[in-house]
Amino acid sequence: MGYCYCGKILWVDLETGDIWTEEIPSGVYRQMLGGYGLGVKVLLERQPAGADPLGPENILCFLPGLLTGTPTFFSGRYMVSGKSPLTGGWGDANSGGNLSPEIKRCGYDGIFIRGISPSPVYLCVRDSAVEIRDAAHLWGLDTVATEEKLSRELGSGFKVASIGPAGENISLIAGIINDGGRAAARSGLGAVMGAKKLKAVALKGSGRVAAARTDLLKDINKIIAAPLKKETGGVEKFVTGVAMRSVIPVLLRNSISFKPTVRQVVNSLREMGTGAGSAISMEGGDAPVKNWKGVGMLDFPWIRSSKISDRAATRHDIKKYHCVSCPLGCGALVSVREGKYATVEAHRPEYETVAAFGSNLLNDDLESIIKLNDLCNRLGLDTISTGAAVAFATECYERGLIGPGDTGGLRLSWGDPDVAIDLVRDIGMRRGIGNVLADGVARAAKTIGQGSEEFAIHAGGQELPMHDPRFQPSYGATYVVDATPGRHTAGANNFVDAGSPPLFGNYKLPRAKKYCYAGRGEAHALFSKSVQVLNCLGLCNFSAFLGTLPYAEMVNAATGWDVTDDELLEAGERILTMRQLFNLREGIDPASVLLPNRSLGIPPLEKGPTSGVTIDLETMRRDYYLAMGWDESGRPGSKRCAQLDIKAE
Amino acid sequence: MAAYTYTVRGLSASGPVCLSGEIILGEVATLEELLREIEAVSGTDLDPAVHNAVLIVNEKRADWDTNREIPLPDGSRLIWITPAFGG
Repeated sequence: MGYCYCGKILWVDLETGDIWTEEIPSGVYRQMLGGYGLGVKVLLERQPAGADPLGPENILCFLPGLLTGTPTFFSGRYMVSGKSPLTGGWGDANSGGNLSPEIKRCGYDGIFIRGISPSPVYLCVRDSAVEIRDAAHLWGLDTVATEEKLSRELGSGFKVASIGPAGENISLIAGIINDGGRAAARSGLGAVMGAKKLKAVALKGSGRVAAARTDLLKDINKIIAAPLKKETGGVEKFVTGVAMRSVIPVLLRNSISFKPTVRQVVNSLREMGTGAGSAISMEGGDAPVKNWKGVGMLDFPWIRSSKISDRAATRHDIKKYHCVSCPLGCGALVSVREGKYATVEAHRPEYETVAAFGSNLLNDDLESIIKLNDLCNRLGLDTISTGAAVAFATECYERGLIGPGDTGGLRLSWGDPDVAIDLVRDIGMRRGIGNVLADGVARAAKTIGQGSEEFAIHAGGQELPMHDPRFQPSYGATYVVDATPGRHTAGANNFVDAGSPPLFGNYKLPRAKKYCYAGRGEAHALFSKSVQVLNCLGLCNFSAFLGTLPYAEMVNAATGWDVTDDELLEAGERILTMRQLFNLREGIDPASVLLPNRSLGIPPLEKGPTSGVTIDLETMRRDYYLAMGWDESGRPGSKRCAQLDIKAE
Repeated sequence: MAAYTYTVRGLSASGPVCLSGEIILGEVATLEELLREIEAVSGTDLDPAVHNAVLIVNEKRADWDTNREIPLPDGSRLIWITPAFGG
């Protein structure tokens, strides 16, 4: 065991009931960091190729980041990994809240679960006491009720991640929920949990996660947090005396005022959450409108979008909150006290959810979006994919491809949240047309047919997030090149469009013109590696709002190592490469992951901020592969794999 | 005489901002000239390159580099908008 990691992982076989631990050599942590870096190594080595994602061989893992549990700011994320039933390839998802450190306090750097239980169970972990317990009384409950019931049964202090009815019903767009509404939502991993008949994981640990230099970590925290306490343009110097680039995040560079401070940006996030600026995104062309066929300024103009954005979107806030170890605090609980969308103490919808159930459905009713968000959290559904499924179904209905006879009488139309709520319930419960949509829009389009594939908005089977490639083309590249397609948190190089510095400070990148496609590969690869590092350290991507942080120094203070930025980025490259190898092993041809024509501007929109735009996706894809040292078809070469100490089959 | 309407949207130091108004000039203006007038009226730096702004003229995207010197017809509507961060 070293500093800040436990040196072992927990294994659980739900079929045999076997529970055991496995020691992990120290060198693995330095190579793979933690989180899904550790996950992809284990899955590549232990999971047989071609495993059924919903079968016993698929290994589902819960993974804290390397720095999680130490005092390091922003280090409270946990990850869930496994083979995705939605994409058929590598699946991961990432969540905040308060659960992540508990995995380490129990003494584990990851919990790996295989097999299928014959009946519903939950996993109860209290330090080294690990039990597979009957969950018959929990099966059928929503995620909030499950947490509440387990808290009453087990006593205070247990942290719970669970699935709702959507996961139980093996909806392929089901996620895993903790803290009553934080979601590891993507990749359909809630369905994997449901297929295993694993209702929940409950954790309570008494251990302490030791850092090599707690004093230094606290000093670094002070430097990181300094912009939050005074008017400053960003982190300027680090304790070692190494001058850092003066960093002003993308948002600051783009602000109407000259140079708002980091503190002002953070205050916006604290006050309004990630929904600060939703209306701007809807008006400006970033947020999709009307299942990606609309134009915000025409179809969902400011007078409507501003009702669900910015300060207007905070009017039901009852309490702000921070995820564990976060100095920023962009979360809030909300209550809608009366009316047909009354909701008690739910999580405030994030930007992705506001756009998915707002502009993409032409819905300007904030209370209904709060209700839809809470409904998804309780059912255990990914709000991005679910919003996309409702939008897809609405367009199918609009075109007459489905009718009231298919929808159980629901008359789907744009801007009707009541119908959306009913449809989301049907998706979670797999009722009627909801049974078709519960498998995501790609599969739903195959079932419905009649040309509906054209407007099923997904990449590789996963619904696209709420950032339109016609507005930020590099998102489009990220959506198709990452091993988990359709992800907005996988390192898009749109930062480069804005002239932002990279996340790691010592790299110079050319500023790219927004609609020039060649020559972006190097920047894209660098950002992708960087994001892998952040994720696998357990850091929130929003830490980047505070500037280019001293990641290597943070890791060294926590672990006692002497890593450099280069070594961390090499770890990021290793993780990216191994995720790619996982997909290749599962028979996924990287070139087969495409974007819908609509999201590429084929044909281009005639009006609006992205009018006339058609994206050259293949140039960006090819340049990225080459910058990664892969061949033009996205296959990592054996020489580079050997340099990265990856055993490629 | 030429009359133009404008809208400026973006995240400012104090949160999201939406400015809008009308500008009447003695003769037709280029996109750049109109932007300078709006800067003068609003007291705000609106350099599209600095702010990575999207420009929309009469409901169509206008690339700054290729459109800045093109005269805008009387009655044109300009929207200047900066990207937000989402999440």
